[in-house]
Amino acid sequence: MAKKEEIIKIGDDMENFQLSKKHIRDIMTHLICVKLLFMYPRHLIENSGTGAWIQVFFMSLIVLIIYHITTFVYQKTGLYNILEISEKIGGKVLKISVSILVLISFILNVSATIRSYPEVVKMVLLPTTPIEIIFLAFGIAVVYAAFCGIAPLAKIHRIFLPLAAGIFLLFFIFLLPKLHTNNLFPLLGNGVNKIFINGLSSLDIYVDLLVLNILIPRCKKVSDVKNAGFFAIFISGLFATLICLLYTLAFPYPMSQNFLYPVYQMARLIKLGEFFQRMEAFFEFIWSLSILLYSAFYLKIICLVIAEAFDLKYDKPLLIPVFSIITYISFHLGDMRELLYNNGWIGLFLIFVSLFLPLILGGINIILKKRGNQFEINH
Amino acid sequence: MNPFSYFKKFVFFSQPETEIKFEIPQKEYHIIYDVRNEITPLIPKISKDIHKNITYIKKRFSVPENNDVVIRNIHLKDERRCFLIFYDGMVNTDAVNEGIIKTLQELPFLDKEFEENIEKIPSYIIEKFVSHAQAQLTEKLEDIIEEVNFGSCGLFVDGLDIGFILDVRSWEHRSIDRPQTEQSIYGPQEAFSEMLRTNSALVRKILKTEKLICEGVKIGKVSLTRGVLLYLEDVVNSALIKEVRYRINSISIDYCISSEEVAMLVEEKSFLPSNQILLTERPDRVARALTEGRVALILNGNPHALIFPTNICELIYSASDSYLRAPYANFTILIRLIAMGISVLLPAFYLAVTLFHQEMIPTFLLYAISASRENVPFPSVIELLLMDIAFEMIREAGIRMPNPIGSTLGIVGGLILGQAAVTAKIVSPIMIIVIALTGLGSFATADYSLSWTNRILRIFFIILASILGFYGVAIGIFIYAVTLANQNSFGIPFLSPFIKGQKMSKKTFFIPPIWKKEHKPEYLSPKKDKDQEKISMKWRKKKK
Repeated sequence: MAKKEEIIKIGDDMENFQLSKKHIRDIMTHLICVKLLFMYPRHLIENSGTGAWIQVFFMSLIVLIIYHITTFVYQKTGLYNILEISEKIGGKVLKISVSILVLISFILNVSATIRSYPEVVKMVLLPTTPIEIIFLAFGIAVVYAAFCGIAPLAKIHRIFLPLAAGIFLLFFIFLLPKLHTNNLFPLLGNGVNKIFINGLSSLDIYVDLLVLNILIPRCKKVSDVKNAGFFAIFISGLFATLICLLYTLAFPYPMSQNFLYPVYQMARLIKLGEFFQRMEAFFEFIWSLSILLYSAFYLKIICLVIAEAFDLKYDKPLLIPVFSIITYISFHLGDMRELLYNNGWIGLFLIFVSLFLPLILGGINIILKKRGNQFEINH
Repeated sequence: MNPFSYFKKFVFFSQPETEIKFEIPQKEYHIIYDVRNEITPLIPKISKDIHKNITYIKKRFSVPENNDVVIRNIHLKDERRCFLIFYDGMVNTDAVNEGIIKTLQELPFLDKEFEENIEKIPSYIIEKFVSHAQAQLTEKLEDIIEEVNFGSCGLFVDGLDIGFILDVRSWEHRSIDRPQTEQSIYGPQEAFSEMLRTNSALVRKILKTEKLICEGVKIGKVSLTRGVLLYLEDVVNSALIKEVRYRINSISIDYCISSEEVAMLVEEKSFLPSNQILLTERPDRVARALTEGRVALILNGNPHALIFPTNICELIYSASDSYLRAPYANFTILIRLIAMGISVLLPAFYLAVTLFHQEMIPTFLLYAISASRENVPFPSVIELLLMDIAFEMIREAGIRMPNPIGSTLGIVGGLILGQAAVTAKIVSPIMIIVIALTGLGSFATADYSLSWTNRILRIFFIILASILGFYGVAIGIFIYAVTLANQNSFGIPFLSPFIKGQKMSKKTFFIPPIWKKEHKPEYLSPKKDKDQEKISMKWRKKKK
């Protein structure tokens, strides 16, 4: 029997997979953009009217500023995520408390998508199939993908994102003849107040940035995280602005408030000659892949957070119970997405946990660090 | 018999006991030497007493039961006795007669001077009298036995505790032929044969460098199948060669006689649909892989080489792609990709559209499909499975039949059966088109094992599409993509060119022009990164 020599892996080590800048960039861009495929543009239109695209642009700018401050803080803390920092500051108790807040935020966020997607599939693709069957298939795929781990999901993001971007570019080009500039007016929609003041509550589109924070220990450099985050916010902001602009241009204002799934509705407008009459089928396809990837990634992240919070050695046994809990919440608390939009407190909670809590904890950590250094110097 | 056993026999219709009952004994304890357990042999070293040697050899080779073993006694001029052992049919008889027996018989009288310096005799015999290219001395009996089993001739001389191994191997083998499964119009037309040294020489003929290492390996405790690990010492990542060597040396099995078995024994996941090691019969493909920093394994008696590691792109390329201009090669690759897509997804898409999403196809096409299915009694999924299974049966039968009958069978099966099925209104004409296109797509797949993968996947997608339509297909694609992304081949991700930083000049699914292939594949982390200079076509520079 041969003796095992010291083996240096030339490729990936699946267990200790480190995310590169490109991986983080793709994952974050995808996670933020997924929500735009559902009802999000409609809610923006409801709030700001024809000025929805300005609201998205404005929100992206605000998030970029918040993110810039956060990265400034985190450059000094190193490759630690919010859970590790909270443990440093307040020990186990604070770590578990912060973990619970993070988990609630993640579960609220993902259960909205998990609730919406099977319903969309039933409504659009499989009207005669029971939703239980649709959901079972969805659950099997998501749990299996999450079981495979972060590494394959990150790798698939690298392939999927350019593909999705290409298809949406085509989508945009094919939609051009259906756009009417008249629909864009009045330019400021429901007014400046609605766009810039009420619009702040819609910052929850960027709550997925919390995932980036959780992933920090799995990254190679802090600069990678910083650059990837900026890129993701910029691209998703651009995408969101573009989607809102297209939606505003494609449908007159009163009508655009009535469509449940704006992007799907726009896809239905596309017709290429006699043969290609139903291009939304391709759109459905990309949509399905996107949601599956999103849900699987979130499921894995939630399990990782639980494992980290309670010092569990393995996170895989948590997959099915966690998925069951998410399913239960999404189906028993009514329409989660509507709940998120109609209940302002939930939105504020999500914004606080995802955008401000990391900033606050990072800041406290730096202050304590400085005090600690000062204490050491004095003694 | 107790009532329960009686009831069990009655229910499960157990066969009646026959009078003649043959049972293989579970264990035999009279094996004098079991190579599996590496028991110390009875005579670890060669004895000076030739009788002891011959008795042991006869026992070990089961002479006279083993009737192709030849033990030839010879008397030297000084009446000293010696004997040869070899397998009839595995040695070159002329070499044995002329180069060994005749020489030994003519060996001059070994005088007293030699008797006093007996240790000089063996080397004296080899240097002065053995007119054969490869001859070596050994004190170990096991070495001689192993070499005899591999076609050499063993020689024992009375009074000497050293034996001789004389390489006189020569057995019937197939000559170098054209490739059978990797045919190409351009490029070399040679394929590996079953001879190990011929195969390694075919590669060495292409890569004329002393840095090409042919490292010997043996696989199988009993079969001791010989092989060579090929790699370019100055290119390959040393971790990769260590890992390949470790996995191969760690195979603990009695019999392993083919490259395919080795591939199954060293791959990481056995139940994945896609293979993780490339199998090729072309020396030029092996040579090209070695220059990229991969490792190859050739086994004796096998016309295929294994290439480690591999990725999805390598399975999609055909051997001829390297010899075609970039536009031609990329066009054929595109066609192959479409063909593969059709072979996996077309039946599933057809089912999804006809069963669930009729609104997605134009109305006049929908009418045509409905009209063609008007008198067919089966649902689309049954119809599809029937035809697919029939097609697979024709394919399997075609492989088993001799060549002329095989092609006839294909025509008979494909044309007549299909036509008859349509006329009998068992299947619709459009289904024949779907199955025919699927079959064509499957045949157009470059790698044979990948076409197997696609055939299995097709069934998987058919089932998903018949239950959940496009949604099921999307779920299937997602699960398959995650599985592929989770797959590694000897430390590199299976989807490597897409997911691991790849410089633009390197090939992914599509290949760049030859002058743009400046770097070796990054994911292999070779010792040498560059394949050519930035400007390889120096003539493009202005003349001074």
